[in-house]
Amino acid sequence: MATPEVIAEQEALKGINADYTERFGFRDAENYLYKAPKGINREIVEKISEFKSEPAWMREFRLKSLEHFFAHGMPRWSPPASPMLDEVDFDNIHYFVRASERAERSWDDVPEDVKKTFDRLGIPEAERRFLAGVGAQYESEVVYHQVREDLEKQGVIFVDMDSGLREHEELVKRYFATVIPANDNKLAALNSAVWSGGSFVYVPPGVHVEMPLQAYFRINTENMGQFERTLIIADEGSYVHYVEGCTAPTYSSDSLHSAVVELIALRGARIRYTTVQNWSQNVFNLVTKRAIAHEDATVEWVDCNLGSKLTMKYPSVYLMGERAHGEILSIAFAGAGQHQDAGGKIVHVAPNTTSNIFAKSISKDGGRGSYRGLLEVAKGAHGAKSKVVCDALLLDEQSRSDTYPTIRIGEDDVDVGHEATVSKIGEEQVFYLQSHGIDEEEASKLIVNGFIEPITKELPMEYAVEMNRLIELQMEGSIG
Amino acid sequence: MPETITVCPLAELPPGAMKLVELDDLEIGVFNCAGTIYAIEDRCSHDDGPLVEGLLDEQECTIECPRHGSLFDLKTGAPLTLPAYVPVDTFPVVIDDNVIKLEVD
Amino acid sequence: MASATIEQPSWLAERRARAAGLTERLDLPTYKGRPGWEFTDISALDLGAYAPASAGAAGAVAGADALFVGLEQPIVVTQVDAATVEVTGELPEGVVVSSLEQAAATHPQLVEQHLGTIVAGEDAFVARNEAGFAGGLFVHVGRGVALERPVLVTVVQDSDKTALNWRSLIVVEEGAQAEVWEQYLSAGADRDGLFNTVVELVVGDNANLRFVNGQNLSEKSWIFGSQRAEVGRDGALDWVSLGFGSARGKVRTETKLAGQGADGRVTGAYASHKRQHIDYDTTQEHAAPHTTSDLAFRGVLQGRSEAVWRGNIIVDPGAQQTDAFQESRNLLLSKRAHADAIPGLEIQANDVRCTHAAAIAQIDADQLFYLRSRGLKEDVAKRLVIEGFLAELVERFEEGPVRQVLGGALERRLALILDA
Repeated sequence: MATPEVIAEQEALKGINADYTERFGFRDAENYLYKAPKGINREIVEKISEFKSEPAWMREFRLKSLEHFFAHGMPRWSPPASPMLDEVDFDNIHYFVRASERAERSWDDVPEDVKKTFDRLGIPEAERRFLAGVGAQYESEVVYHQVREDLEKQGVIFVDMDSGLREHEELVKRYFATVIPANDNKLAALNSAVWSGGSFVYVPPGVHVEMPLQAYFRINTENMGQFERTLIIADEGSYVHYVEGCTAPTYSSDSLHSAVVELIALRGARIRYTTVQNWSQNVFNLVTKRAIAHEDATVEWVDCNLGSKLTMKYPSVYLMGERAHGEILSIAFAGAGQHQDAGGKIVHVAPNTTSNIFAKSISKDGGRGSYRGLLEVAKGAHGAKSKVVCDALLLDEQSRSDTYPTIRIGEDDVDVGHEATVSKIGEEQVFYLQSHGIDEEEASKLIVNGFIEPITKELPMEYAVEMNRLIELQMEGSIG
Repeated sequence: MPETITVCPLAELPPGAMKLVELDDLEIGVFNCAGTIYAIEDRCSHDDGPLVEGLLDEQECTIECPRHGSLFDLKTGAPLTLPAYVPVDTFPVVIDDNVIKLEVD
Repeated sequence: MASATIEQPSWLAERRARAAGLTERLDLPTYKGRPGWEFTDISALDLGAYAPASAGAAGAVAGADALFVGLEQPIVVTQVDAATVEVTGELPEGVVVSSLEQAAATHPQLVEQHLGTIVAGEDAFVARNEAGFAGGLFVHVGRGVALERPVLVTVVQDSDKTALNWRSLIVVEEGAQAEVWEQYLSAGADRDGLFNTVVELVVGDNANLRFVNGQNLSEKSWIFGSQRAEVGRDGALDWVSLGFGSARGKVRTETKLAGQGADGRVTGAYASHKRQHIDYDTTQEHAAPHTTSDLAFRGVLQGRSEAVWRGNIIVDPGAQQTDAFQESRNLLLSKRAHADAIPGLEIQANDVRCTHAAAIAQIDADQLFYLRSRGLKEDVAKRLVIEGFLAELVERFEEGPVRQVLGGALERRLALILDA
């Protein structure tokens, strides 16, 4: 219905990430130590391994993974994956770009132009104000890594993955690729072959890292492939909150970001993993994220997807120990030309495990938001309880929303439920707010904020402020 | 009452070799892992992948499912990595006069 | 095989030949290299083992366990294997009820106009049906005619190791009204058959159709079904589907709300036990503005039985003011029962209200405890809780014969799976 209210509301909602180019879309000159030619083959993989002076087992792992990558087809599901997936051109990607010798522990040692980039993105400032540690990845490798001294003294390890492998080989070897095997899917195989950067986190028993650890990922070059690899192990009774953000310049041809993230929460531990994904609209974001929660452990994924061309990402939690809890909170914002195919998976393996999935998606200007999820209760997981709620908001007639939740239950003593709704901004709501002296634009903003508030309230305050700012910008339709 | 089935002469399954045995609707993978014979159900508990077509690691005594990479301990049938989380069945192996035999329930 | 007694018009012969050609070309659906679908493996199906059904005898009906008992003064169509054995003779003005083969000869234009327009033929099972259906049903209710008596269609599969291709075409013209009950049965619990049903429902503008479909085939039977309806402007369809029998298979139930203001209500129930595997695939497609749909499924699973329900709501571009609802609830009565629910929404219009809900649970312990505290025995209390769960479905219908007949069917099935 094209009432004046709705027209005004749609005007107000134009321009998701309207100021992206100015804030994140800038590009730096390329002063690289090494930039691999485009394309993927054995030589490139061997070169990466050689650059990193890795142990032989990792080199073998990479080469085996490369074979898996070649052998696998692109993910094919029912209902089918996005047709955009066919546009990914693996031959037109630089698989490894080195900008700096090593991960520095002082911003002063980071190459000047790279440091400037992160200054512009506000990372060192944020580190000073409210973070327990920061990793900053530029292209293929981490250029800066630091963790607060007191945490280091307590035995907390927070290093880039390359250093993790060098300095903690036994720990890495024990857990690496046990949650996501190289052969899990084509993209995980690719990451396993060419991985570089990412974080390695270990939190000793009983240690609570009260402030978040933050990783920031930046792609600068055109047709770049970024393949960070993150492994987080929270030992018994520990707690850690890891936050990642990401941006890239806008180019006319596509880049690929394909991470693998493995989380292991040992008995009684809690891991919270928050993502604010804001890649430019020429990035394919095809990510595999999976967690294991042991007895009495909790894993929470807070997943916010604003950017990218196509995102396919379904963070999962396998509840392997009794009374483990999994939680997935997902927000997706799909604007013009974007497809956010996001969601989550929970597998109840042990008895008396509990989980929640709350997903919210907003589609506008012809964007497509898809929720794809799995809730599985294995035989023997008696007493499992789960609730899945998906809500979608469609802001105009051109946009699309899909909801594909799969529920598989092999146990009688369970209590699982799924609910989903799709709606538009209600004229009544707008009218009600207007009748209380709030103008239309403000009213729409309030409604969208109210819609995602259950999830943004779970973000650390600084990120919640940033999310709200981004969304308000879009609602105002103002540039800059 | 377990049934004993004959697989093949030991000589036909040298170290590193794998063999598929079919019994009604049950398929069993028989493996020679550095001289020791193991038999497990040839069906990945995650997605029914055919394990005998996977990669055998003789040193660790594991088999990797060719479909999604789940790693299984040949001795116990236990999954060592996700995405599988349910063990696969194992079958006792008897070497009788240099012939490999399995006991199947 | 087409029955030899009726002269087949040439257009139908050509269609059958075309479909027979398609069966050569179309493979069975596969999922990851195995025949079947994601959650329903049919690699055990040996199509060659089922000979085409030949003419059956009316006597077989007595051996079949009827689903629908107590309909008042129905117009009757009964088929055994490939033969139509009974059709009520006297019909009101403007109404045709006959076997489809008969209708193809007596009302060729009507049949040709509609046959195959609702269910697409590019499917291995549909093509087999088109090439080989025998007997079948044709109902035509002319413009503005209200058919007061219900039509009761009974299809009995008697001969062992045969394939029965059942075909229904029901056309309710503008402003007309009809109620059709269609049940698929086996003549005995030991019959091993393949039942392949294709149903096409045409609901005209302002027309009103109630279609109650149920299968109580032997638990050795395969069932495959493609059932689809198109509802015109301001038309209304009230569709019921019961899945009690069969060993394994898949039934597609699709409603397309094609005209503005069209309404589709679908009510489904399955109750399985032992090693039964039931698979329902439902679609509610909103192709016009101001359309409404409301789908509710309930499943009760006992033993090692498995049920798959996949349900999709599709809102086409421009179908504004759609109001769609979909709900699936399963009750697992045993540790070994397994249920999959895959609800889906695909929405391409923004001014819509679409909601779906799916739940899988066991019998609520609190309810059970309450009933037992009132002195009821465990099994009685359990039964009451399950009946309450299914009663929600029956209560979707107005008081009267419909409720009674459906309630009776559910009650008898429940008694069977609970006693086993």
